[in-house]
Amino acid sequence: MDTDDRAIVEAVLNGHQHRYADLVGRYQSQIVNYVCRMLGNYEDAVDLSQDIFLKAYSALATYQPRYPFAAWLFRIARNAAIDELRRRRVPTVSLDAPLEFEDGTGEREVASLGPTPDTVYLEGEFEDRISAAVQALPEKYREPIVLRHAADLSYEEIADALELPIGTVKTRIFRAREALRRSLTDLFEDDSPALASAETS
Amino acid sequence: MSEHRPDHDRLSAYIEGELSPDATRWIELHLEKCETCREALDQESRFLQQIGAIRNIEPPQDFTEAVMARVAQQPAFQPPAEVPWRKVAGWSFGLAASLVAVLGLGAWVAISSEAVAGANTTGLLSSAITGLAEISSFVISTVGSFLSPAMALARAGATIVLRLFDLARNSGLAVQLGVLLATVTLNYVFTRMVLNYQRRQ
Repeated sequence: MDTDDRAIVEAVLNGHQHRYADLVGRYQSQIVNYVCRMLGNYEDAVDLSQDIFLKAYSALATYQPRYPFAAWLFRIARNAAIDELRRRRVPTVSLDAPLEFEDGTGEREVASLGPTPDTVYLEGEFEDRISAAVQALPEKYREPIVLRHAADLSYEEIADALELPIGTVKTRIFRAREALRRSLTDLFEDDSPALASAETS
Repeated sequence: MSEHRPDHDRLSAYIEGELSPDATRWIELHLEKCETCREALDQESRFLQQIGAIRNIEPPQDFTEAVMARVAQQPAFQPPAEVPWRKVAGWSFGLAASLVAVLGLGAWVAISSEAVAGANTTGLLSSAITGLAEISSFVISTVGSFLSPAMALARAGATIVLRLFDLARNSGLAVQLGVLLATVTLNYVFTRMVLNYQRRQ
């Protein structure tokens, strides 16, 4: 598969722009899943994913064929997702602070933080719980677990994408899973000795 | 089998095929006789499968089209010009370098053996230099004849070298060494010039 990626990149660089659609089609699902799990919002994830593919196209001449294309693409996706998360963090206003109007003060109307039609991707409570548990992980654990399970990258590709040693990637994935096991213990309750021991450790 | 706590990390690494062959063999032997770990393995498999449920976000149907519409607004990459000459010049340069090396080695061997026999080494060295100059001039002419745009220049260079060679034929060793240096330098400069010319095409 990876050889094909390189062949497509070469074709695009040789002026066959339309061949880029093959790469978009091949990776769109993984990228959208990854970005969506990082940002937590479908519409934003789709917009950002399109930007990511456009950035990757613009930078295609810098791709080094000796590295897997997926890792290169996800490095771009990761930087874009992190930039977006940073951008979102900047202006913060207390939601409890009253709003001042000309005719007095009023309360803010805040959208529900619960699932909305846009944010419900998984059917049923079970999937919602897993999704929420993944979303609640600290970023450094969420990233590798999302790349592994939402984007379906190998450990090696994750290490390349995150520019981390593979040992660190494995450790973070294992710890993330441990955290998920703990937060989702009730979902898996069936007298499992494995989960019971994980709960007590 | 004594009670022990199953190692989730090891089991998940086993399921994902991330263990070494030795570790895989070990765990398979252990699983044969440990029911606790077999149950844990089953549990771990289901757990991984269930985390995999986070990869179920579908991009919009028109995702690829939307990306490609934006890509189409970018200029297509220009295919690099056909450069068959680069290979020719590369071979010529390699051939020249090889000839210099072979001739130099031959001259050194001849001089060494004649020196032992008490023969006139200066005469032998002069012959070697003369041969080298002739061969280098031939290489320059050959390269020039292959490359029409650079042909005139290369041939002019070859003529200059031959004139220098004629002048130096009856001169002392120092002049002949100077001709040798000039020949090799010209050889190199012409080849670089041809290569640069082709890269710009």
